[in-house]
Amino acid sequence: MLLIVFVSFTLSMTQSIDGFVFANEPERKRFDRLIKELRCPQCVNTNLTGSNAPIAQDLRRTVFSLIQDGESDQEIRDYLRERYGDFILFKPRFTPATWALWGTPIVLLALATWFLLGIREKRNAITLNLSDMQRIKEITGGLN
Amino acid sequence: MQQRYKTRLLLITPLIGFGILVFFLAIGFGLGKHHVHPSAMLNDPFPNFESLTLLEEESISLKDIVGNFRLVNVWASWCSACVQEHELLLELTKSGVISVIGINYRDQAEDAITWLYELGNPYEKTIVDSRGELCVDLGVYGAPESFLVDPEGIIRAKHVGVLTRTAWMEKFQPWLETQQDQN
Repeated sequence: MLLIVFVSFTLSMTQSIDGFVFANEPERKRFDRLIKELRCPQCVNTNLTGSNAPIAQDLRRTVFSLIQDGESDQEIRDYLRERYGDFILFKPRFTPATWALWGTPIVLLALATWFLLGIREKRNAITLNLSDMQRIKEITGGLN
Repeated sequence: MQQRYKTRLLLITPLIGFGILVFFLAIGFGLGKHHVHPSAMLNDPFPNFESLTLLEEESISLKDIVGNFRLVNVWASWCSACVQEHELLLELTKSGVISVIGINYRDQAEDAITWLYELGNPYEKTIVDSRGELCVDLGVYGAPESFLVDPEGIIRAKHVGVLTRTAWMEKFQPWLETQQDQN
């Protein structure tokens, strides 16, 4: 009895909705992660996990069999990109067409830092000036 | 004076930002659908496959379709849009313009055969792809979809969706004409 419970438990751990049976838990996790970051080509904005379109089912099976064939994550991404184009990747590659996409946040961060530092420096300058004034007053005995 | 200039600049900053946003959105919306369905697989060799033909149930593989210009057409009996291009496919076959090869995508053999029987069969051969494996290898989004394969087995043109007369004339026909010029 205990054995049956144990076996059914491990089976449920390594099986996905589509009925794929995984050799181990890390493999299933890898599968889940990959289908999460790949876009269903026929859908507007759904990943392979969330779509029941025929093409999404086929692509999930493709990802599964590529994992079984021992392909790396990058090889699986490349395989699908060659066939479905960059559209299938939710995380775009760094290419001349996407450098602005990847670069803009960094540039904005740099600009914002520079701007904030500028403000702080100015403020420091003002406080310094005030304390200078104070000293001048002390020295001169508040004559002016 | 200097201060005034600075305030003014600060006030129009959101406007500049908005302008930049509009600029990129205009480009994005102007790109059209061809960017969503990129021309992946173009000029790539047709993938290797081993399957059966629908009607004859004979084995068929890549070597059976190379050697000639082929119009490879993905279809299914459940695909309502496929009916719309059927007349054009029949016409292309009957007039001998090109040999049409079908890929029966995720279908029941029985339904598919009935469909061909009722509407006419434009396909020289139909490759059975009941699990959509060949279609994934071809980067197919869904039925209908058409590919022009040259005699060396290289994919020269691709059309996603119903193959219209205009699409045929613009994307596919020119390739056949260049071939005729060479002969």
